[in-house]
Amino acid sequence: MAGFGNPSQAVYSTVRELVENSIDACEEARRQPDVRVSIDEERSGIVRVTVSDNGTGVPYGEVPNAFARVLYGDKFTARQRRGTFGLGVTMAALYGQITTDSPVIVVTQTSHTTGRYYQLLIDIENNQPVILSDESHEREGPGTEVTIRLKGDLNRSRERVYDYLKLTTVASPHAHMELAINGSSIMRMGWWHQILPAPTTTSKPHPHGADLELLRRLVADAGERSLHDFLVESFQRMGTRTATRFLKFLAINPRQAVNTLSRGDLSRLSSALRSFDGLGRPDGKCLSPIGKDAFLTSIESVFAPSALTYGSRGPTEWSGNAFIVEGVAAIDTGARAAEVPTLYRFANRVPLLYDSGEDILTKMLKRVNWVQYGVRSTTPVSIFLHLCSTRIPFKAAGKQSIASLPEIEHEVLSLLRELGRSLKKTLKRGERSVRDAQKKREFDKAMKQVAQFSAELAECDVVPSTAELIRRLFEVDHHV
Amino acid sequence: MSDQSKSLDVLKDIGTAIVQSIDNEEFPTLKFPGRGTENLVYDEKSKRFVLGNTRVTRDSSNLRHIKSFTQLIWVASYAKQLLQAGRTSSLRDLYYSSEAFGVEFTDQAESDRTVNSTPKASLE
Repeated sequence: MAGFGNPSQAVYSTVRELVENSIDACEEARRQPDVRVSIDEERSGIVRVTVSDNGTGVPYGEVPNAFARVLYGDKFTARQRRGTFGLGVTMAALYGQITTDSPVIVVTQTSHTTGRYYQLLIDIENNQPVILSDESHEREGPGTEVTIRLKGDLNRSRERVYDYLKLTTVASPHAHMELAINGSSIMRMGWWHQILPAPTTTSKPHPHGADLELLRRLVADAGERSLHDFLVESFQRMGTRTATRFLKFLAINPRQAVNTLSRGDLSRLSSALRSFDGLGRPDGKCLSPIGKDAFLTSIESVFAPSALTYGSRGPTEWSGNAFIVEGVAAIDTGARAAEVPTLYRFANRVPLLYDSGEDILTKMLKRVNWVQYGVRSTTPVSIFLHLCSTRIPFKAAGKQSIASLPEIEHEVLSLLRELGRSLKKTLKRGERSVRDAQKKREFDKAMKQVAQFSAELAECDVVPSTAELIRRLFEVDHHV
Repeated sequence: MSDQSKSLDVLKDIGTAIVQSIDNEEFPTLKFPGRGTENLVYDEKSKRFVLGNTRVTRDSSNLRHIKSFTQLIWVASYAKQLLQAGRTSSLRDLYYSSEAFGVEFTDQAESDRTVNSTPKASLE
C-alpha cells in the first residue's frame, strides 16, 4: 500500500493522513486548528495513534462511510486541499485492520449535538463498513478524534513525525500542534500567525484542462445551450469576447446547440481548447498560498534565522490546473552550510519528507548555480518552497515527491533565481555590517586611547568621553 | 626657561587642546610633517637629511588617519613621562613599550617614523 511500505513509514503516514484531515476540517469550520497527536507503544511493534482536532466533526450518518469505505470522499473538486480524495484515512484504517486486526475508533461531535463513539471495521471484499459499536459519548466540544492501532516502528518514525508536525506549523502558521509519545509531551508549537487563510472557492475548469471526459460531462449538464454560452458559462477565463474569437478561429457556428455536437466535434473542441493560447492567467481564488507575512513569521518563529526573504510566482497553470509557487530563503537556520542550500518542500501546505531526490523542487534547486548568488560552502542557507495547486502532480500514490512538468519547472526555476538575487543582496549587506562593526570597534578603541593619552599630557584627571563622537561618526551609513 | 620645561609646556598645550576639542564633541586634528621625498631637506648644520616644513593634516574623524593619530599622541605622552623622570629611551625600547599601552605599530620602522615626526607635529 502506498505510504505504508514499512513499519516506520506506516506510523508517519498514519499521523500524516489524520493530521491533514484534521486541519482541513478546522479550516472548513473557520477555526484556528488545534491538533493533538498522541502515539503510544502498546507492546513492541504495535503502536496506537490518536489524532484529535477542533474541526467541524463528521455528521453521524457519514462516519461509517467516511472512515471505513475506500474511495468515499467529497474532495473531488477544483480547489486546493491538503488531502486529495479523502482516501488516506481509510487507507490508514485498513492498514491498521490488516496488521493488528483492530477496528478504527472514531469519536466525533458536530455543533449542536453531543458526541458519538464508533468502532468500525472494513469489509474488504464488499468495500462496506462494519459497525462494531455506535453509542453516544461526551466530548469537550465539536471536533473529531480518530484512533488507529497498527504495526509500526515507533523509534524509527519518531523523528519524522516530529519534523512533520514542526514543518506543518510552518506551512499552516494558523495551526497549533501537540505531540505526546508514550504519555509524555514532546512538543507544543504553532499559532505563529493569527489570521486564518481566506477560504478557497471552487473554480470553474480552465479550458486547458478540457479533456474529452470533462467536456462530455459538462455538455450533458448544459442542455440546449448554444456553444458560445456553454463555453462562457462552463469555463474560467472564457468571456464573451474570448469565446467568440475562439469559435471564429475554429470556424464553428457559435449558435449551434451543444447537445447536437457529434463525438468527433467534441474531440476537436477538446483539443482546440487545450491548445488555445489567448487566455489570461488562471483564477487564483481556488488556491491558498501561505502568503508573505505568514510564511516569514512562521519561519522566523521556528528556525530563528538571521535574515530571510520571500518570493512568489503565479498563478499560472499546467493542463488547466492553477498553481502558485512561493518560497523563502533564510540564512542561519541551524542547517549545515553547503554549496547547495538545504531544501524544505511543501505541497498544498503539507511538508514532504521522503523521496526528495526524485522531486522536481530538488532538481531545480540543484540546477541553480548558487555560487553566482554568493552562496559559499560556508554559508548556511535554507530554501523553503511551497507549491500549491488544485492538483499536485505527485509521482506516486505515497504523495512524497512532485513529478517534473515543464510549466512547474519553469516557474520554480524563476522563483529560485529571484530568491538567489535577493539572497545575494542580503549576504552582501551582512558582510558589510560585519566589516563595519569591526571598524567601529577599532575606532572606538583608538579614540579612547587618544582621550586617555591627551588627558595625561594635559595633566587633567578626568578623561573626556568619546562616546558621542563615535556615535555621530557611525550613525550615518556612509563614511570614508 | 629650560629646554625641558619648554618641551613639557608644548606637550601640555597639545594635550589640553585635544581634551578640549573632545569635550566640545569635535574631532581633534593635528598637522604632521609630510613624509614624501619632496619634504626631505639636507641640513647643513647637522650634515644629514631632515624633514622639511610641509605639513599634512591628520583628522581623527578619518578612519585612515586614526591609527597614526593615536600613535603620535602616545609617543608624546611617553616622551612626557621620560622628561619628567629625567630619563631617555632608545627607539628599540620605545617600540617594545608601545605594546604595554595597547598601541599597535606594524614594525619598528613605523614607530621610528612616528618618533621623528613628533617634535614637528603641531596643532596648526
